Amino acid sequence: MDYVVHIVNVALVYAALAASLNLVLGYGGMASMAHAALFGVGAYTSALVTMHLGVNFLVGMAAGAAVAGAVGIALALPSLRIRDEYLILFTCAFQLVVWGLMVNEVTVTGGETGLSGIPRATLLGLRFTTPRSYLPLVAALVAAMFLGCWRVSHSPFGRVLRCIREDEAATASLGKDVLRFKALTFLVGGAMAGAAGGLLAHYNAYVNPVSFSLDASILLVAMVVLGGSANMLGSVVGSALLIGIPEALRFVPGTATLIAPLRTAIFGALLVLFMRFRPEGLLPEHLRLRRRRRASIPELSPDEVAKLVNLDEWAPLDQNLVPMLEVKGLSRSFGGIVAVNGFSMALTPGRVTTLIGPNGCGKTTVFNLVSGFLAPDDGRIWLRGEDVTRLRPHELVRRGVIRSWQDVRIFRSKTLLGNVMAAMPRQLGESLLALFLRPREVARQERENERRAMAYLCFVGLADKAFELAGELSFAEQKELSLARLLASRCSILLLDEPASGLDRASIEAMGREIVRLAQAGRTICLVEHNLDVVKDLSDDSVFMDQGRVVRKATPQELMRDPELARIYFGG
Amino acid sequence: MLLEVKNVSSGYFRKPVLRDVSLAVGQGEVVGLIGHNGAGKTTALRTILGLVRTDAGDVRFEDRSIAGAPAVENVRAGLTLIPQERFTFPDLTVAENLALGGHNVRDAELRDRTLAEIHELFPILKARSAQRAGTLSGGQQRVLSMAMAMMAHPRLVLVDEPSLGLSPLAVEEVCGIIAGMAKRGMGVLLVDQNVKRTLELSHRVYVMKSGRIVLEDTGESLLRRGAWWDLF
Repeated sequence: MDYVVHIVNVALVYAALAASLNLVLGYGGMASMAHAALFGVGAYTSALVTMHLGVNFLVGMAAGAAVAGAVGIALALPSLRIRDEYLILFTCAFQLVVWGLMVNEVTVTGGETGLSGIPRATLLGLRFTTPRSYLPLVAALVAAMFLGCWRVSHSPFGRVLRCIREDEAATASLGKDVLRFKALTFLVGGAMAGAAGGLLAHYNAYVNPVSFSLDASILLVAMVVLGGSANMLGSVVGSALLIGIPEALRFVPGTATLIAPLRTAIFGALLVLFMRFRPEGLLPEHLRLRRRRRASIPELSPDEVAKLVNLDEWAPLDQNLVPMLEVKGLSRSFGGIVAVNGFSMALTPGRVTTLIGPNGCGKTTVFNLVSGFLAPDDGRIWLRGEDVTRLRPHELVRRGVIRSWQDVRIFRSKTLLGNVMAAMPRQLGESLLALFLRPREVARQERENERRAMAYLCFVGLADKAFELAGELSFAEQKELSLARLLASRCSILLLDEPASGLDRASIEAMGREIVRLAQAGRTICLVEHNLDVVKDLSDDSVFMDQGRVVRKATPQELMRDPELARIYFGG
Repeated sequence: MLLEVKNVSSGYFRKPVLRDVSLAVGQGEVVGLIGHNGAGKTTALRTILGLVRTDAGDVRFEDRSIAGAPAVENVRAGLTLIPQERFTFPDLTVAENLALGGHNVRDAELRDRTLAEIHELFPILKARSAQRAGTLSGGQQRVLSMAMAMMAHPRLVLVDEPSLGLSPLAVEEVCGIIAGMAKRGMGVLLVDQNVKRTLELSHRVYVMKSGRIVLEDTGESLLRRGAWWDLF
């Protein structure tokens, strides 16, 4: 019986561990193959601290968490800008290095044999020795760690992580500092893994490198994927299955010698079958989406919608029409090709400015430069007199400049409400400290944001679909959702990349009315558009570009009377 | 009519692009399709070939419905598309590219005869037979892509932006090839950014705006207008 309890204890520790990896892998979308290394760092740290300093095991665990968190950050920093297979390779290498240190730094780690005689846990005069006595302690600590992961994942912070997983550039374009979120996720994931490592060290009273090898990392990834990535309970299920099934097989007579190879075969077979038939895992991310608390957000009256959307936030207009955003002499080349060459323009509040020109003339590159997604080779961008030339996208959004995307780039796997809420600025719940220290304020702001998000959805006519997945919307609705997202950011300068492309006439007209309304309410709007009907109807000013240069600035009607521009646009 | 597109709507997942599009191409005819960026011109070509699913309406080729048929079958039936980008296999030699173009022609003798013809028409392709296609100039690659299409013995050629990124001289050559295809009796449906050139080359022209055909006219009469802003 003790043996069964022992297995339960181990499975619990692995559940916490898988949950912490789930933050990084499932929510953050960063395939880290070095989680067992962080686990090991925590275990060794906790063991060494308690053995040499004689402190309580909880202090040891805390030290393990701190060191593993720091190592997590060290792992994160070089890997923040790489993705997918490169991240996998990089973290694999990191895992092997740490494992190599564990095996070879014999004086510190005891090498292959590891460390034994690690003090067992004591708490309030209680000594924990047998698996059975440990069970409540392990369960309580694992529950605490699990709740920590749960809190982080089910919060505005977790929401941003899921956005990053789906589309990093789109997340940055909504004003989120993607690198900060990724680094913090590695920190939290690493610290939790370290704490779990400490707990296992004191429970077993020994550590050796076997538990912290690349195999163990792969096993952890398997737990997360099998249980269901981005579902915290899934990690518990995954751990129970992958720890429990091979152990259960021990009770099958005559298989004792077969168990090791069988274990590997079962992992492999299970993973293959699951990837084939249930790629989303046992407990998928959106298990209960449809039944979510639709009722908890009260219906909004038109007055409330108007008040919450606060369209006139940027009115009254400055009658002098001082330029809001000024671009001077912007240049950028790719290899030998000059995409933008000495481009200048000024955007004025309350006016709609359109960039037009033939294919490949550099319109989208201008947007990428002005919104911070590309750094210019030359030239300056001034925002209300401040030089913002080399700011990153999220810094520009904080100053009020936001862009939309030609291909919409909504978060397809999130609800409409989630899409809009992700775009809201200055969310308390995006700070990890606030999540744990000021939970009430976080909850209050979240409720307030939910109401405002609903109001924005009402404004674009999508309120009745608030709880549906954005990926299920029609293309015209996705464009409207993307507009709601821009409004939710409360930016005053909107750069719209082809807002009307792919829409039918009725949707184009609706979109046009909304854009005009936004300009009238004092926003500064710049758009790239190819449908000249839209350009003529909407724009006050237009800028004709060719080969990266401004050819002429005038009203659309004037531009279309210029025979030279016709030659450029239609070919000669 | 060689090709008849009747009231076709199509698009990508959840994103309708073509709306009730009807057009026709006859034998030996160059038909131009012009319109603003994102108007749906490329999608029209891809729908006709069967790369994009037809949601409504019918596509008829030589009086047989081919709506919903996979592109592979349509190529065997005599359609071919010269795409905007990635129109040759850069890591294969010129000869291998041409062989791939004729992949669907079962008759080996016919294949050899076509190849000889092509070598006569475009001596550069014979001279560069063993060279990797990726090392050819942009204009030469365009010529190769046209020759690949001809290897398949199509009766209808869909050409997407053949002048993109080419020097004026290379554009002249490509236009010559397109006119030559029509003279040999093939139907050509041509999409190009260069409106003037398209009008000059085309017998008839359709204008697309936001996924719909808004005008049909002869190339000649549209050329006389001088400016086309209202159509875009």
